[in-house]
Amino acid sequence: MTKSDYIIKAKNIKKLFSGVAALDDITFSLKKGDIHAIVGENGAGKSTLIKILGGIYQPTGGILEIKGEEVKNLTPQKSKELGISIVHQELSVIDTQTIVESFNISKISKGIGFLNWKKLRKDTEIFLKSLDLNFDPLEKVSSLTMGEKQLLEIARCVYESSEIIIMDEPTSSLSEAEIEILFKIIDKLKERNISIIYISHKLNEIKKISDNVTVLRDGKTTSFFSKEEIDIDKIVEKMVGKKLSMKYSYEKQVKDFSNSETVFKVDNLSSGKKVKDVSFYVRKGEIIGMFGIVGSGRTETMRSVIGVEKIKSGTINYNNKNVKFKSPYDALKNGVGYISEDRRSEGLVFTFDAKQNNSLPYFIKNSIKGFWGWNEFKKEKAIMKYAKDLFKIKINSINDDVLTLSGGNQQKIVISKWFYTNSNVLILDEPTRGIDVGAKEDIYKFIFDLAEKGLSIIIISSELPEIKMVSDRIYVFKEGKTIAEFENKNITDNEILKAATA
Amino acid sequence: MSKENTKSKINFSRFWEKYGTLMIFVILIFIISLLSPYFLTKNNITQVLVQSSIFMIIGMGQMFAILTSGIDLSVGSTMALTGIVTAKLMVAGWGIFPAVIVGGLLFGAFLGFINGTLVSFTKLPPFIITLGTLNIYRGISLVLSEGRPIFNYPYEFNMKFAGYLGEIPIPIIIVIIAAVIIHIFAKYSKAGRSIYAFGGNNKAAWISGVRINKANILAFTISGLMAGLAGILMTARVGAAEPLAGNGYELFAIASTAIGGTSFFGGVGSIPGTLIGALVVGVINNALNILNVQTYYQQIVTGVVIVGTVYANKVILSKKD
Repeated sequence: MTKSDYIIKAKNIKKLFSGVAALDDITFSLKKGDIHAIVGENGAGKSTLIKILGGIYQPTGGILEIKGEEVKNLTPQKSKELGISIVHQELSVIDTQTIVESFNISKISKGIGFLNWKKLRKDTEIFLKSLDLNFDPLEKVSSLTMGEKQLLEIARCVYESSEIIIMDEPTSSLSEAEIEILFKIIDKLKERNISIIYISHKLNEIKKISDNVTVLRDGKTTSFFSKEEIDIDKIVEKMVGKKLSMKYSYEKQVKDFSNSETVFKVDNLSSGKKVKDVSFYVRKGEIIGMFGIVGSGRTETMRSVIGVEKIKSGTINYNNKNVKFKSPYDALKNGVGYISEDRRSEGLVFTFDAKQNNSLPYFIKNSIKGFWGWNEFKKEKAIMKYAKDLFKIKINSINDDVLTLSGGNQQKIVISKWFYTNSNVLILDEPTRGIDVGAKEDIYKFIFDLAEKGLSIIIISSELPEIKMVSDRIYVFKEGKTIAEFENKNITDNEILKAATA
Repeated sequence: MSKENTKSKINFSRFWEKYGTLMIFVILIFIISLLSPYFLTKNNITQVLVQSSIFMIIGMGQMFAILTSGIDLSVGSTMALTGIVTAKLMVAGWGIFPAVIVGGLLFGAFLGFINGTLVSFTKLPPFIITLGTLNIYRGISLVLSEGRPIFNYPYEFNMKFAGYLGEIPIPIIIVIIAAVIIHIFAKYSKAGRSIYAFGGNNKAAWISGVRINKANILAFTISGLMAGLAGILMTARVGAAEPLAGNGYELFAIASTAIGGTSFFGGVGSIPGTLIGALVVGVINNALNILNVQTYYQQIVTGVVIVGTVYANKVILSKKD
């Protein structure tokens, strides 16, 4: 093969953090116009590799060639100039901008003189239409959902004429319908000979769209599959290092709750723009799943329930009393916890180490008026150690910075910190977004344990298999309303999807 | 690069994170002691400590404001206003301690509480709010004192707060007591933890149940309380409550916290660091005096040291990754 066939070649890439190897020996090549999937468990080194390609980290060793030239001291700017764009899993969009501003930001920062906004608006609109995206370019980015932002971010990379687009878990915040749109976009990119590095935990997706697959484990490349060779079982085997079937090792038993008391009941709730008429209830020990396309009002419902957003009308009945929580503290105090879908901006305090994050809600709950009292350092250590074992959180020490942990381990801490709060109701918004199979299983098991203990659990998820796998009962949201309710028995995917979209 | 080399660099970074400010301080002392034999005499050391005591106190208060990723520009004005109110209470016949507690500490805390409440409820940047109260508090000082210093209060007050206990200057004793209490509060109390959490990520803290408004208000209240304490020490040292006292002192407070390693993004900072930061500011002022550097040049040097130390900190710490 000639030199120019490969747009990126990485040989024996190494990266050390504080003397610990995040990448040990990574070798992979990206062919022009290919969709190259990179898979691996959390902590395998995918994110570090992306950051090296993006010029954010400098490799400690190895050779990196881009477009046939060896590159050294890559900076984010140089990487961009070489035509590399990264769509991060945790999006870094500027919320205060409109779509047209965000699309033309490089023109804004480069520009001397004036911009023809009318023309740019038109251009942006036409461009979005060419990718089947119907957005008003004047809409503020802050009013979009995570999924919409993700699609726009990918579109923006194309708009800025990138040659290599790296997508980190692009579908993790997308609904089924949006995933289809994304795949259509990817097809169009392939036609334009754009190369894509596609990082995902969803192996079915990878089988569907990618030309080849590189598997990482513990900072090393373990194997390479070309299109014809792609086989999910084999990939999983290479990822985890031993033979494992894709099926979850933990099987959910759907139980009968007809005799259990109702703990939490919401009737005809409306709030903000997105929640119009929502009713649901959850019984003691029950797990209910909230399904719907992104933007159907599930997150907003839960946020109004715990006092983050204002309620317009409707009632909330908790333990046979009508309640209205004034703030997350008020909810916590009364035994209702909420775990946000956005772990970076609402899950972790990054200036705190692992144990301090893990003890935060417990410390608040176990205090005078949520504010006064002494820090219980012994307890803090003990519950972190407990969480580490119970949850299999991979940390070197309980004093580790959470910033250095992989997404899955961060998410485990975001969830585990609610374990000690003695709550009755736990609301989990996309609890397994963007994390690997192993970590997902740990989280499911944890949720089942909690339910077993008598907690009532509400899970929001855009992944239908996940909803079916964890829930006793399923609510389907559409356009701010709960439009269907199913017992999770003998129900087909089609019935649920139809309710959510039709 | 060899593995050992990287490792030793990282260890140095870790060491620096903890003791960096202290190292700068030690190096500074070493250099100055070479330049002036007088510098390390008992007399001069006492002098430096007394001079730095006010920086330490307002620096500790400022640290809390900056922990919230805010700032408190009103500390200098708060010092003046609390000094004047304390003096007026004494002139009106109050005892020294009731006047100090009400007019200095409680009133100072109240002024800080106003700052915090305004920040919390208007959601305006603390910079703007405290820039406003900087002017308001200064204006009230001038109105109350009719622009004149107040010194017709009992002389005993000056003795109590600027005198000696045995051989030890009282301001130093007060600083030590205040530092211990504030350090324990920051490190060991849930309210302190809440302030750090709020500063580190206010949304995540809120969702986790942290009472963020309380944390925010308390941080500014502490800054006001410390400024009130500094106002008392200042009045006693000068021997009069002056309406223009403490003018520009917010900058010393900010410099002390910055040199002491407090992050302006919020959530990171410590009392020991801030104390050393304040000592660095005090030592520089003192050294320039005993080395007979012209006053005009002193400000230039102070500015260079502030930017230099904070930048050195940043460079060394960024090697960690």
